[in-house]
Amino acid sequence: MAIVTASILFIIGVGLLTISFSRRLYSIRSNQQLEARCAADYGITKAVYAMNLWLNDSTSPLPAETEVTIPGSDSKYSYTVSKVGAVYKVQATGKSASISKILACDLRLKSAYEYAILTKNNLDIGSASKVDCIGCNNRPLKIGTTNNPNSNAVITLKPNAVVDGDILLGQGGIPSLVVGPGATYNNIYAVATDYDLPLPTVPDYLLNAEDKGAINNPASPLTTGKYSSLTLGSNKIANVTDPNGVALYITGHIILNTDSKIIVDVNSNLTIYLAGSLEGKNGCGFTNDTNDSTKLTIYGLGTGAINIKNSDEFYGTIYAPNADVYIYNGVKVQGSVIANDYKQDNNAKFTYDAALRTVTDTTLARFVPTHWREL
Amino acid sequence: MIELMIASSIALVCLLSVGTIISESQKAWNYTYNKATSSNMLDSHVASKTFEATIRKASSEKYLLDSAGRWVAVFYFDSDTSAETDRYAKFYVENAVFYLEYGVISPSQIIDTVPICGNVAEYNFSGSGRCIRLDMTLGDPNTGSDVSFVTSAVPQNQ
Repeated sequence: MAIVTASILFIIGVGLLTISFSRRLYSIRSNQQLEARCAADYGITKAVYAMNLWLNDSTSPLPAETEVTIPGSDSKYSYTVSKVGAVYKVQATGKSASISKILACDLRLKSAYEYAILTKNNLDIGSASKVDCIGCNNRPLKIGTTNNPNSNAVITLKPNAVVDGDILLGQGGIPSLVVGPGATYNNIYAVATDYDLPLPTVPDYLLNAEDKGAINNPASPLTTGKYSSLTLGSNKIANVTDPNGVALYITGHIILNTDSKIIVDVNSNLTIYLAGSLEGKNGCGFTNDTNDSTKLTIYGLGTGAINIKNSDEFYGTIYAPNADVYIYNGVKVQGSVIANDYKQDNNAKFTYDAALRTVTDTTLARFVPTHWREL
Repeated sequence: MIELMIASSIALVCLLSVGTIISESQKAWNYTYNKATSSNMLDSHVASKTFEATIRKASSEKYLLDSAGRWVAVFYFDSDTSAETDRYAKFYVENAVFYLEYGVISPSQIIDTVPICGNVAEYNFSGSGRCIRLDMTLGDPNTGSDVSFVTSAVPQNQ
């Protein structure tokens, strides 16, 4: 009987050990696959990071790394970047023990103006106010906040406001917390991406230039340089005519009094780096005769508010991630706005120009992965 | 007689002990075997892998999540030549069956609806940071032994 008992127990024991062993092997293999996959993900992330650094010196060789051990881990990653036609392609390999995972993706240069209106915090679209798009086709415009309504951001769409596109929220945002009774829009959703809204930087040649003092009712066209402020009196006009374009670094404020205008000639363009605020009175504003929103750019360097009271349609882009932007009642804007808070008053109209998705200035553009796939 | 009774008692105790050990061992073996190889366990792996693989190739710029966590839809590139995300994948549960529906975004068209697994007792889709997460419990109507799993993945495309 003892032999029979021992035999039965032996068989059961062997069975249990076999199951345990196979589970253990499965667990080790799963773990190695997971590590290899994480290492490959790491490789892709490093490649994207390296390519964004490479943007600053695109004459240098494309980045690559081979068999680099991830700190605190036994797994290794490698990546290569190649250019096929106009597309940058990344292939990354992650290795853990005998397991390898290969991932690939293309890199897309993402414009700083990929969104019609993007804020860090609040976004307010007034009653009977409209946001639409030219050239968006199958890719709807997006407005939204990088924050989410669970924290301190608020998106308000007043009654009869129309957004001809999607409204996006930061990670973890709850769409039902967006206030929008009586407003029209497509979808509201939270994103699963990290937003990179770097502060704009003043080019060295302007930063280190001699301060030319204040501009007050200039008699001649504006010229590139560093100035302490820009002020136009009532009905005064400042012209921008230089065919090479004009870049102004204003260390103070811009004040446009009633019915004053900054006129950008059809053959010129204007870029303003504004450290202070932009204050406009009724009827004032920017007249961009090119009707091209890429020809007028305002970079807000600090937290100074930017108030647009244009009498003519404002064609331009505003990139001021720490400043509040206010589009006044009835004003028409065509372009894109990146701001801290954004308010668009009643009856105002904002038209996003889909051409801004194409990167013309790589200063604030970023490579992002696209067509990601496992090989 | 007394010796016989003592010997029988000792033998009985030994037999009962050994019997109990064998019986419990058999139960433990069956339990472990069922846990390791039950259809629900295999289904949970399939569901995890399918969910992960689909989410990872999706765009992080947009996903639609039901406010009650009953479904989630993501968008992805059909091929290397797709200029925009042109396909969608929607995960949902209907009649205790976990489905993956995928199709063309524009014009809206369902290509296929694939049942991934059955016996879904509980589930919830949620978004957490950069992750999209699935919590699911598969119930076993025969043994009453449930398999619960949590899986999440980060969409890799932008």
